[in-house]
Amino acid sequence: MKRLLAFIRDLFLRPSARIGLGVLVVGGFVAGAVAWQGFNTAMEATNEEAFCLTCHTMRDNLLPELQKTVHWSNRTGVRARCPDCHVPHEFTDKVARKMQASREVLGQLVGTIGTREKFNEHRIVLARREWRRLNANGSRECRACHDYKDMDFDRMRPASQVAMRAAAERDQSCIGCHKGIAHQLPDLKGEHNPAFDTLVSAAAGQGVEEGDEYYAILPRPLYRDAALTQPVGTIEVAARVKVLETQGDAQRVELELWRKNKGYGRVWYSHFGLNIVSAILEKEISRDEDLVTVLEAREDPLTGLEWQQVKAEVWLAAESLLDSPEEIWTIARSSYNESCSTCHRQPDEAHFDANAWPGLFAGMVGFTSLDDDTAKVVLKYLQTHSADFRGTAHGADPTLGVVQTARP
Amino acid sequence: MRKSAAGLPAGAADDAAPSLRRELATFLILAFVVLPALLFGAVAAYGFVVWFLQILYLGPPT
Ligand code: HEC
Ligand code: HEC
Ligand code: HEC
Ligand code: HEC
Repeated sequence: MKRLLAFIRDLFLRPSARIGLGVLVVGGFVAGAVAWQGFNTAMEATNEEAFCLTCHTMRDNLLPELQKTVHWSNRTGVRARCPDCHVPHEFTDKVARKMQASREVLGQLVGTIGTREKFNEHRIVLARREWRRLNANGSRECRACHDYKDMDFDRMRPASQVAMRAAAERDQSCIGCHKGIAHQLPDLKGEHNPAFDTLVSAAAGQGVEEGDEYYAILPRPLYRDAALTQPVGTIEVAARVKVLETQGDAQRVELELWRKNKGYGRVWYSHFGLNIVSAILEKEISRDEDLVTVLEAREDPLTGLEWQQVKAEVWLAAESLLDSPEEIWTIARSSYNESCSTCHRQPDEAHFDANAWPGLFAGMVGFTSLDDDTAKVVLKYLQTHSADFRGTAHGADPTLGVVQTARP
Repeated sequence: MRKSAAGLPAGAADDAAPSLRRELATFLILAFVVLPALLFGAVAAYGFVVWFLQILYLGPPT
């Protein structure tokens, strides 16, 4: 160690004995120039499309998809190469991105996405990263080639004009609306929102008192028995239940909900007259008087339908409940704000009532990349924060007070 | 620093001024191997630091 230090000190401090100063300066200059050029060449070489495609996962999966798009071949002959879109163009971010690629090299060696199946499974994770990145930088890479200030909106297709003018006015990130322009979109159906993991772990830590009320964190199957073998239906996200007892990994809960007295009556709602789905039972079960007790019947003056208040005691797996729905709403609110604000300002939750939201939502959800579970949560959030609930605490009975007149 | 009679800096056993060959070799290795390696290392380290900062505090670049 000491010798190494001495060696380094000598290297820098001991004047050269034989080589002239000029030679040193010229030599140093040449070495510097060569090194700089070499560095740039290396940076450029690793920014070539050919370099990206040396990894077979990229060549086999992404290239054929890109080749079908306008960014591969078009009227004007301008090509977008992989790095044009994926590598930041500024020095610091570019270097950071290249170092980040060390992880991708590792993935290649380990074979994380070595096959088409693995790739498809993992694709959503990768896509999310790119979306997050492009959202954060306002799609800077896209805008290196096409920016709002250089667009002639009048010459766009009529279908584009309104949306694009509005986007330019708000200086929105392109990726908000133009996902999947270069590759196939990942399969979002059945995809699972990582935000729910926090709910699951919160529910695992939730202490449960018998006799108290709790909220289901996610849709969960319901059973008739404590062994959880005879399914009777599913409870929907954020549905309120009363816990009666805990037995091992199962909990007996009481559902007290409303249904329309029509057909099987298998869809149960949280409030009288409001289509906020809280549970869906099997059709053989929903009229089973051993399980379901009818407490009260009332006619909805708006539809003329009879609604029944019903009660059932069922079992569900433990660790599915939280004592407050607020955490669920936080996730829903951020998904809503993010997904529904790309084309228009997200409408105020209380601008519509609980029965209007499902139709409106169904017409819009196709425009977004919300997965099924998240979409359900968002809809539930909108309904429970709708005009019917304005001014009432969540969960309070909205049929008391102003609600009925608040409907159109 | 110990000085030899001639005023040249003295190091270990091979005290006397190194030969031209040796000095040239040192110079060339420093200039064309060590320097580029350091340059690369410094840039890589910078990149990693920025990346880690992005993970921890900064979030994706804006
Ligand atoms: C290297 C430059 C370049 C980059 C980077 C780039 N594009 Fe393009 N883009 C083009 C060219 C060229 C066309 C085709 C123009 C034409 O019609 O001839 C195009 C076309 C489009 C179109 C029109 C497609 C159509 O159906 O007419 C959209 C939308 C688009 N790009 C979005 C994006 C987005 C979003 C990004 C960022 C992820 C992006 N582009 C990045 C060059 C680029
Ligand atoms: C608010 C959502 C939104 C944002 C943000 C947005 N676009 Fe668009 N853009 C659209 C819609 C919608 C269309 C019409 C697409 C269609 O008809 O298939 C469109 C069409 C286009 C077209 C085709 C124009 C034509 O000739 O018809 C291009 C190119 C384009 N967008 C590029 C961009 C770029 C680049 C950005 C970011 C700087 C961007 N867009 C941001 C919604 C958006
Ligand atoms: C016009 C811009 C553009 C070009 C060119 C482009 N990509 Fe992409 N790429 C995107 C965008 C945007 C995403 C985010 C996912 C999405 O919206 O489809 C993405 C996503 C990806 C992903 C994540 C997985 C996925 O499908 O979402 C990979 C890997 C990828 N690109 C690799 C490549 C490779 C390799 C090339 C070159 C053959 C390439 N990209 C060319 C824009 C581009
Ligand atoms: C791709 C762009 C786009 C996205 C994303 C989008 N919308 Fe819309 N939305 C529209 C357009 C365009 C209209 C007007 C259509 C019409 O009037 O038929 C509209 C209208 C609406 C309306 C009706 C407003 C009224 O006063 O009648 C509501 C409510 C609405 N959107 C909610 C949502 C929700 C909730 C989401 C998120 C799930 C969403 N939107 C996502 C484009 C979008």
